[in-house]
Amino acid sequence: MITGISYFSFRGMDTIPGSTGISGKSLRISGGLYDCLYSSSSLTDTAKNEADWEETTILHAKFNDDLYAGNVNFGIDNTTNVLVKRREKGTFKWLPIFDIPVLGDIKNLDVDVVDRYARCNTDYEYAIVPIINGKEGSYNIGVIRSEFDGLHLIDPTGACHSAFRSEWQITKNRPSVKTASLGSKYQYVLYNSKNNFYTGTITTTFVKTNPELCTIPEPETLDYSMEVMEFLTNGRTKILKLENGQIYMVEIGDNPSLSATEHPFLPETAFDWMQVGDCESNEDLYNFGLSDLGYEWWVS
Amino acid sequence: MALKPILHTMNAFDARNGYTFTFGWSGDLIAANELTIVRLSDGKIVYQKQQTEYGMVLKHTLAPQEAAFNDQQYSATLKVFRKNGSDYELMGEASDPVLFWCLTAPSFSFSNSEILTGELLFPTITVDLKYSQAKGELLSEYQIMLYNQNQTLIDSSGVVYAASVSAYQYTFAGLDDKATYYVRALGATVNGYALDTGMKQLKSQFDYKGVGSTCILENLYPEASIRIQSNYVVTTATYEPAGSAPVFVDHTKVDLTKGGAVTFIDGFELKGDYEIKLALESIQPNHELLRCTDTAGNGYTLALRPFFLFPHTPDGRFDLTKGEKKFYFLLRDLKNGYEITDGIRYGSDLLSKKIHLLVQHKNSHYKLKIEMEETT
Repeated sequence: MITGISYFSFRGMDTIPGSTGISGKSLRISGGLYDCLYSSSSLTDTAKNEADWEETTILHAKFNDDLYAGNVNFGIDNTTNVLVKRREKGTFKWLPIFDIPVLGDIKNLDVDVVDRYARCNTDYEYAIVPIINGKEGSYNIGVIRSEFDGLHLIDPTGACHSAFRSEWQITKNRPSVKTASLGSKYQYVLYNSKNNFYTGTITTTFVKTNPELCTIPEPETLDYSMEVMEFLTNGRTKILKLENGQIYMVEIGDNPSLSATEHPFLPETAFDWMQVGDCESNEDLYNFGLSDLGYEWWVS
Repeated sequence: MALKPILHTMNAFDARNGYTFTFGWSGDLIAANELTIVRLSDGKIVYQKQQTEYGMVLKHTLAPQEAAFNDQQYSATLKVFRKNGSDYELMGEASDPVLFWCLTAPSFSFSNSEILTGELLFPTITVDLKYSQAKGELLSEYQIMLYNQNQTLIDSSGVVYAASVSAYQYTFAGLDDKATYYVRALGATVNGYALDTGMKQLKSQFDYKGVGSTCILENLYPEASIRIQSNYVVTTATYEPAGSAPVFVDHTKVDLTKGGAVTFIDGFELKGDYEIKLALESIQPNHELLRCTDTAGNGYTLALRPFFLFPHTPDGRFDLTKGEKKFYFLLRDLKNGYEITDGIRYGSDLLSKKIHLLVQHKNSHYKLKIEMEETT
């Protein structure tokens, strides 16, 4: 029950002049039994706080057995790492993709990372998860649809993109041996390994586009194609993503080629690829140098 | 070759629970069957009994504790009989012997406090399994499964061979708040004793602030990438006196009535127009309730000051025998030295009430507002 209300007043004013240019960096409270401290840049004129955390909130301490006044109940004193995880919407299993060690520095809690291994035309959930006292804290989840055009080849050293004159062909490989026996009318088919992977070929023109002008700077495209040849033969495992949603972890075949087209500055690049791992496997991503997320975050 | 029944192999079982032996037979109609159980340690026949079952009932039921006792290995053979007048006549030969163990039921359960209480407080749970068997029978393999509220399987450890791990556990991550889950583990001992914890219900109720802390996502179309950013606002607070811990009351209040102070020093900045709201009780006169300063120490303090109000005598003097204690709030600007007092005189009842206090800074002017609430 509210029993009394008063307004601060001085010489008839309900507000009084204060110091200008002071930027409050320290707030100290004492001399009472406190159950709330709230500060906001949105002015309400009411003394009783009924708001939870909002966009304009600066501080909100609830003193629920802790002294945290941010929008989370953890701090650098008890948080060792922040994990970023991803899963396709509608599935349960999270794939950890980044680990940010906090190292006692509050700035490290400002997560800003880029996931380059998301497939196209797919709704993803991402979660930012603090590791508090050795346990996972709250999952801070966002949803987004991953979209892009053309094909992208990505490895830790760089990426190349083509949305121009792409042709591709994909083969599923399940090696087997056919053998005849004397006592059988039919042949036996033997699967001597678990091999079960894709291979493919791609023919395309890699161009550096100017998205603002929607132009192809033609002479530079030849240089870019030569750069792509170096990229294709750098010996690194790559992620191949197509705009139709396909995604593969691949090695590029031995002999990528450039061939002339009707346009002197727009040669076609052709290369073979072979699937070598699973893009959704932390172990494969780590073993092939596509992720540096340590095994401690994905080995149960 | 003479016909013989085929006694089915069996997993280990607890003799206290009894067991039904099953067998196969492809000959004439069976009128009776006879099971013989021999204890391997001394070759003694511990059980030999005929059971008469008309029709092709291919089983022989051992009552609990009837013959076999736990933690021993046994051999079983079975014969089948036809009816010949009032006698039973053996058909074919005895089955090949089948070896089996009787074992005291192993203990196989979850040891997590979360599963024991059924309350999940974090989105991740490392499920710990506890296994033991009186005679040291080893666990061979186990599998831990997670089900949603419809008891549909959503995650599983897969089959884990116990010899290959140092701890029987598995971690489930990314569980949702305010949801119901079920956890179950299945296992088997090296001699085939089947283990099952049964479904254990878990209800999640996470204790964390989530409002305002969001995961900001951006689809970077040209780069075919997703940018992930957090907007965590993390503050740092220190407690005085240094080396001691703050005392919390009812898990919702911090007690700063006995000289303690809390200072928030990092992760925020009060600039431009803003307001600060405090909710407190047991307010201590003559203490700095609030001190807001910049890095140079400029800013302001707020305190509750006591004073005595004396009535005037008819001749215009103060009557010092009838003083009444009153209080006023004092805001002091540390930079320009202003000391600003509240025009309101508060009675001593202020000290027993809950105070809602507003300090507003707008256009470089301060405003103070106080609301009082009866404490419950």
